[in-house]
Amino acid sequence: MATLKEFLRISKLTGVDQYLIVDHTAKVVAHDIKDPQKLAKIIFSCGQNCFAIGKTQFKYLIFSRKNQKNIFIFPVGNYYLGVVKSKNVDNFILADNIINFLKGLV
Amino acid sequence: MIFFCEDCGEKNILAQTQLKNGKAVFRCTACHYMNSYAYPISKKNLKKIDQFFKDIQVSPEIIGSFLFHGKTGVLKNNMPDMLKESDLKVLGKTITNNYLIGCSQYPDINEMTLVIANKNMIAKMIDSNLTLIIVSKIFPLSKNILDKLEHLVSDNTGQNR
Repeated sequence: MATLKEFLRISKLTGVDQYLIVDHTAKVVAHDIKDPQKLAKIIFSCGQNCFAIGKTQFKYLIFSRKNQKNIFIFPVGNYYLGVVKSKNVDNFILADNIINFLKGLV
Repeated sequence: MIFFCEDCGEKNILAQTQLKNGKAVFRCTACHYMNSYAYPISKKNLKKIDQFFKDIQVSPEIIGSFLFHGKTGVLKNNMPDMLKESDLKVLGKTITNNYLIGCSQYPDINEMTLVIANKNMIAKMIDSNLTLIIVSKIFPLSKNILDKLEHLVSDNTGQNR
């Protein structure tokens, strides 16, 4: 099981502008966002909805935004990880980076 | 376009500017009741969506597509037969709910992609009740399909949502 310290290396990944992780009770476990509650609501509600239909096959959800700071949601065990993408980085590059990072933690 | 007041039933003629995101918003000229209700998508627009579905279906990357209405369910279904309408209803509802949750906090969201197994579900909201969903083997969609999609959505909403 990865430690929180190992997990926090996520902020160094290419394409990660901000991140937030919530547990199964919607409690914010870690973040580097100014207004975490705003994002936490989306991460938790949408993460749960997607898991309900995709179960373990749910890989991720992307909200594309006009300002290119797209929001990603990944299931991580009993947690949900939210990532705000940096501008000028492709969606699939960020998704690949996060998936590989999460695999490396297991 | 002609709309009827929900309170007194008076006929009101509205300009295009009074139709926003699939809603008719107007004060009745007779009783001054403030109306705000969703109006059904026109047959012309439904036809355009139908044609779009047919156009993209020939691309090998596309598994299927469907149009989901928040109140009435699946309006157009171009998905493989193995999926029942009840499955599509659950999928459409979940995708639409997520989209609305996202937009409630970040109004500049203009597209949503859900990846389950090796299937990519790309959703665009045409108005507050109508979601167009494309299921694809690859992500992102090819430029040709993306251009057609943008064109269709801006045609229906008058803006890019």
